[in-house]
Amino acid sequence: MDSSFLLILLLVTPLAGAVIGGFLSDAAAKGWALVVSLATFGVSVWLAMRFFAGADLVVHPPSAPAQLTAIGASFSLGVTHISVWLILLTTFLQPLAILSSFKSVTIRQREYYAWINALLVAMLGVFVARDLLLFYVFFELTLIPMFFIIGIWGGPERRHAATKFFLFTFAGGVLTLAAAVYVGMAAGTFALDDWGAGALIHKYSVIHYAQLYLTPTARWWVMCGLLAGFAVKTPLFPVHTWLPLAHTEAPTAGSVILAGVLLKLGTYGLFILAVPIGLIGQTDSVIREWTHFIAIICIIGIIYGALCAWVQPDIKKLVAFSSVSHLGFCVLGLFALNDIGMQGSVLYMINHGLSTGAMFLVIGMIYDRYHTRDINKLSGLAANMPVLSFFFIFFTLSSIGLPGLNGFVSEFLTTLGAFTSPYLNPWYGSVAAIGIILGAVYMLHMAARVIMGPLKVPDVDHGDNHDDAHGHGHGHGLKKNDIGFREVGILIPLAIVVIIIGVKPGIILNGMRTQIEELREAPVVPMAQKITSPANAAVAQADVKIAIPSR
Amino acid sequence: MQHFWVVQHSWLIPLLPLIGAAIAGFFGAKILRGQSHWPIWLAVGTSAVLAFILLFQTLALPKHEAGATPESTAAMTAEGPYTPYYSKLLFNWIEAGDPALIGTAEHAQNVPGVSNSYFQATASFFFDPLTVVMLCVVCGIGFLITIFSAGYMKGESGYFRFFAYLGIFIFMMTCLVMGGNLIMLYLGWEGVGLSSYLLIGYYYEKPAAREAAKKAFLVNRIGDFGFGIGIMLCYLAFGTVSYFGNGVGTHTGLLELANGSLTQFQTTALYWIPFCLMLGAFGKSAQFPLYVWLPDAMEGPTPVSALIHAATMVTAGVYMIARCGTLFVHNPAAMTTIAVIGCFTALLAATIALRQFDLKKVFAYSTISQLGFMFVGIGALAPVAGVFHLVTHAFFKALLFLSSGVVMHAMAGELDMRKMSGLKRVLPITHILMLIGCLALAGFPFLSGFFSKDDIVGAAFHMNFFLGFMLLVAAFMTAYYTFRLYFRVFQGPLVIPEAPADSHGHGHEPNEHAAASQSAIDTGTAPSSGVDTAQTHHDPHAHHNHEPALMMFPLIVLAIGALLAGYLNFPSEMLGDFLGKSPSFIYAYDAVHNNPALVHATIKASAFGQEGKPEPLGIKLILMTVSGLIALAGIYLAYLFHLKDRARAAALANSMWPIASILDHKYWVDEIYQRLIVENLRTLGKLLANVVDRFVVDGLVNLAGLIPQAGGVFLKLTVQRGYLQGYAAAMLFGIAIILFVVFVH
Repeated sequence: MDSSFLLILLLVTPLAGAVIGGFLSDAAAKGWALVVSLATFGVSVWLAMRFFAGADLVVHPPSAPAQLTAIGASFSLGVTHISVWLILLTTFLQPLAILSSFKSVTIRQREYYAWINALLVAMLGVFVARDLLLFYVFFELTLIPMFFIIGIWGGPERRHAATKFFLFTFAGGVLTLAAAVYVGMAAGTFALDDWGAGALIHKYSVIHYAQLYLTPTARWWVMCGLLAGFAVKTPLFPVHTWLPLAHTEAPTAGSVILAGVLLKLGTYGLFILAVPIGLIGQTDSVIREWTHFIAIICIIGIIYGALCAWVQPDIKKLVAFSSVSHLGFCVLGLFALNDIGMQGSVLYMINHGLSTGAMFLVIGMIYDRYHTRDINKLSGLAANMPVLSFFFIFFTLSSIGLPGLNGFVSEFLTTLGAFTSPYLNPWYGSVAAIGIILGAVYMLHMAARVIMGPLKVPDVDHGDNHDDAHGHGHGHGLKKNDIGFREVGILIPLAIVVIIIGVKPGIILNGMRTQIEELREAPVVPMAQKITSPANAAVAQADVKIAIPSR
Repeated sequence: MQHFWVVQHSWLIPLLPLIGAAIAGFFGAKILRGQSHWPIWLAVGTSAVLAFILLFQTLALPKHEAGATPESTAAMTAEGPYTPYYSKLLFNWIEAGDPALIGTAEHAQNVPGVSNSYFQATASFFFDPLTVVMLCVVCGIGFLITIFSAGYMKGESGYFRFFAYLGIFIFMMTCLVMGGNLIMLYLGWEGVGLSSYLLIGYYYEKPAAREAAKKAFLVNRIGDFGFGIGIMLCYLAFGTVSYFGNGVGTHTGLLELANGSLTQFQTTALYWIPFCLMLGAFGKSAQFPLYVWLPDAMEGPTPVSALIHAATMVTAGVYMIARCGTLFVHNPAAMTTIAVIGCFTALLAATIALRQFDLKKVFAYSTISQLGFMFVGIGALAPVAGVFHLVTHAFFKALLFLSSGVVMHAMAGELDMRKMSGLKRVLPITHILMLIGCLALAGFPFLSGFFSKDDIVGAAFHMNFFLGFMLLVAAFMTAYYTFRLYFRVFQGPLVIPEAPADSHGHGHEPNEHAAASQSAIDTGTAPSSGVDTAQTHHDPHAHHNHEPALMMFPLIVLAIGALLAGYLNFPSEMLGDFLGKSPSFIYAYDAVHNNPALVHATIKASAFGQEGKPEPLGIKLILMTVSGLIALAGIYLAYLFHLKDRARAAALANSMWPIASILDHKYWVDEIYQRLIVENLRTLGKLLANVVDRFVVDGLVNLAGLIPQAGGVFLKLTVQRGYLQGYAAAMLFGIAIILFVVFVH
C-alpha cells in the first residue's frame, strides 16, 4: 500500500480542524481542537509506523505549477529518521498543550484554538518539507500564529513580547531566505532529496549541489545567511534575548509549543541545511573555523544562560533561560559532527521538548492557582500540592540529567560528542560540562524555593479560582489545592515518555545513524563521472562556474 | 559462577526495592499509610537474602592457586564455573555511532577526519568478590535500617514517602556496586545522590533541611563533573567504558586495556583520569575540599544518616577507587594525592569533631574522618585495608547513628550533649550498644575498628612515616571525641533535657530545676540537689518504652558486627584473600608489581589480597600495641575531662579560646565557600541577567534590528484590526511576497 497520502493527511487534518474550528462556538471549539490534535497525533503515529515498516513516504506531485518547476521548486514532502521523531514530538505535545489551555484561556477561545491548530500545520510542514523553498515557507508561517497567540492571549507585556519575537525571527529569516534562494537558484533546484527536478542539474539535491560546486566564499555567505535565521530561532547566544520575554508573556500552551517545537525548527534547520551546506565540502571536508566558532558560541550560551537563569525571580523566565543553556548543548553536539554528538543532538531536541514543555505546564498549573510566578512569593508548595510537587521534582530531575531519565542520555552524548569530536577537542566537552553543574544549581534553587520550605502562597481572589468556592476567607490559599485529573492526565504521558527514553534511548537513537552519516557525507565523485549521459555531463561541466558574490 | 541461580537473576536485587518503592510511593499515601514499610521490608529483605546467598556461593568456590596473574585468570575464565567473577548483560542502554566499529581500539580517538565512533553503555552487572562484599553491606545494613526505621519513623507524616525514598536508594546503591561499567556506576552514583537529596530534604518545610539537601546535591555535582570528564577521557583513550568488556581476560575492558601496552595518548590520559575520577570520589565520600555537605546532611532523619551518610553511600568513592584501581595506580602522583587528602581530611574532621555538641554532628565529622582513613588506605596502595575499614565502619557507625537516634527519640528530638547526662539509667540497652560502637570507633583493642584502622595505619607507615604518624594523631583524637560524647551523654548524673512543650505534652520544668540540672551537667558533680528530682520529675519519660524491640533488634545485630567484624581479616586474612580474587585487585596489583617505577618498590602483595611474603608478625604486634595504647590514652583523657571533672574541660577550652573558636567555626570553610564562590557567581549571574543581557546583548541586537522596525509598525497595525480574516489575509500576503521574490529572479 502506498502510504504517502499520510503526509498530506498529516497537514490537512489540523488545517481542516483550524478552519472548521474557526466557525464553532467557544465551548465547542475547545473540544474540537482537542479532537483534531488527537486525530493528528493518530495520523502521525500511523505515519511513523508505516515509515518504520519501511514504506517509502514521499509526495512529489507531477503537476506542480509551471513557474515553480521552472525554478526547481516543488511541493515535495517526505520523512526522514530525524524528522519522524520531531513530528511525533510535535503531535504529542499538541493535545497536551490544548488540554492545558482549557481553563487558563478564557477570552476569544474560538480564535485561540484555530490559531493553535494553524500553528500545528506550519510546524508539521517544516518537518515534512523536502523542498528548500517549501521548508522556508512553513518555517516563516509558524511565526504568524505564534505572534497572535503571544500577542492576544499573553501576559501584561504581550504586545512588546510578540513584536520582539516576530521581528527577531523574521529578521533572521529574511537572511535565511536570501541564502536559500541564492543556493537554490544556483543549483537550479530546491529539492532536498537527490531526485531533484531542477532544469540544469539532475539527480542532485540542492545540498549536494552546494557541496560539490559552491566556492568557499559563496558557501561562507550561504552559511552566514542560514545561520542568521536558525540561530535566532534556536536561539543561540547572543540573539536569544527575544526568548525569555516571549516565554514569560506567552500563555502556557504557547510556551510549551514554543519551547517544545518552535525552537527545534532552528536546530532542525541547522541540522539538515546549515551543517551539510555550510560545513561539508568536497576537499577539506569541514570548515573548521565554523565548528570552533559555533562551539564557542554554544558554550558561552550554556554558561551564560545558566547563570542568568539562576538569578531570575520569575520561574517561567528561569526555565526560559534554561532553554538557552540547554540548546547550547544541543547545537554543540551537532557541530561536533560525529555520530555520538549528532545522535545526541537529535535526542536532545526531543528531550528538551519533553522536559521543558513539562516544566512550563507545571508552572502554568501553579500560575493558574496563585497568579504569580514570583520565586519570592511562592514557597513550600509540597505541603498543599503534593502531586504537583512530585511532577515538578520529577521533571526537574529530567531536566538536570539524572541518569535513568531522558535528559541524561542526550546531555551525556552531546558532551561526549564535543569531547571526542575530530573538529573540536576535549576542552570543549569539559567546559560544557560545567553547564551540567550549573543546570542543577538553578533548577534545584527553583525547586528549593518553590516546592520546599515553609508554605507560603499569595492570597487569591475567590472569583478566579473555581476550586475555592468554599474558601475560608483569609489564608485560604494555604489549603490543599492540588492538581486534578485533567492536569494529572496532561503530565502522566510526559512522565512515561521521559522514563521510556531514559531507559531505552535506543528506540530513537538506533534508527537515525545512517541518516546522520548521509548528512555528513558529501558526494566525493565529481559530477561528470557520476552522470552517464554525455549531454548531461556537458551541462554539468558548463554550469560549474557560477557567479558568486565576492566576500 | 555463571551457573548460580542468583547470578542469573541478579537483576532482582536492585529491581525488588524499586518495585517496593513504587508500591510504597503510589499506594502509601491513601491505602498503606502506617503499613507502608511492608513493601520495602519484603523487597530489601529478599535482596539481602539474595546478596548473602551470592556471598556464600562465591565463598564456596574452590580456591585457586596462589599468586594469580592476569594470564592465569584468563585461563580460569576459560574454565568457567570456578571463576569468582561473572558479568550479566541485561540490555543495551545507550548506544551511539557505528556498531561495526566494535572492538577497534582506535575508533574513539581524536583522529581528524574520522567522525565515526562507537559508544556503548550497557545495562550490565559485574560480580566479583568486591561487588559481593559491598552488596552484602548495602543490602544487609539496609535491611536492618529499614526495620529500625519502621519503629523510628512511626507516626511521621509522609511515612510512606520515607520508605519509598529508601527503596529508591537501595535500588540505586545496588546498581552502583553491581554495575559493569562506568556509566552504570554513574547511574548509581547520581541516583544515590538523588535519594540522599530527597531524604535530607524529608522535612522539606524546614529551611535548614532544604538548604542542606540542595547543598548535598550541588557539592556532589561538582564532584560528578570531574567524574564525568574522567569517564569521557576513559572512553577517548580506550574506546570503552566497560570494566572488563567482553569478560575478564579478553582484554576488551578498560581495566585490562590500561594494563596493556599504551600509546602516547593513552599514557597522557592515564595521567589525568585518576585526578578526574578522584574529584567524584571526594564529592561522594565527603573528602576535602568537598566534605562540607555531609555535616549539614544530618538534617535528614537519623536512619538516613546511618544508612546513607555513614554506612553505604559515602563509601561509594572508596568503592570506585578500589574498583578502578588499575586506572589510578599508573599515576603515583594521584595515589599520593589520595593518601594526603585522606590524611588531611581525617585530621581536619577529627579536630572539628572535638568541639561539636550535637551528637549527630560529632558522628558526621567522625564519618568524614574515618572516610579519610579509608582513602589513606587506598592511596597507600592497600585497597584491602580500605575496604576492610569500610566494612567494619559500616557496622559501628550505623550502630552509633541509630543509637543516637534512640537517644533523640527518647529525648524528644534533643541532641545537644550539653543538655543531657547519665542516660545509662533511662536507656540501659542503648547504653551498652552505644558503648560497643564507641569502643569500636575509638579503636579499642580487639573490637572491629581496631583491626581495620590498624591495617590502614600500617600501610600509611609503609608509605611514609609522617603520614602514618598523622593518622595516629587522628586516631588519638577519634578516641577522645568519641568518649567525650559517651561520658557526657551516658555517664555522670542523670539529666534529661526539658521536653519542648508540644512534643510529649507534659508540662514545663521549673526554671530553678533547669538551672540545677544544667550545673550538674557542667560540673559533672553528682549529688546536686536537682538530680534526684530530675529523675522523679522526668519519670513520665521512663513510662514510655524508649527501647522497643523493633528498634533494638537491628541495633543488636549491628553491635555484634561491630564487635566481631574485625575477625574477618584477623588473624587470618580471610577478607583480604577473598577480595584478592577480584580482577580489579589482581590487575591493580599487577600494574604496581610489574612496574618498578610505580610508587613504592616495597609494595605488599597482601595489601592487594594477593599471596606473597607474609608480613613479619613482630612489626604488626608493635603497631597494634602502639595504636591500642593511643586509643586507651584518648579514652582516659576523655574520662578526665568529661566524666571526672567536666568543669576542667570548659576551663581548658576557655584558656585556649582562639583554637576553640577556630574549631567552633569549623575553620570558616562554609563561610569561605559562600563568600568566595557562591556569592560571586550569583553576583555575576545578576550582572549578566540584569545588565549585560538587558542592555549590552539586547542593545546590540536591537540596534541591528532597527531596519525591520518599519515592518513592526505595519504588523502592530494588523494586531489592532482583530479580525480573523485580516490575519489570514496577512498570512497569504506574506506567502505572496515570498513567491514574488522567487519569481522576480
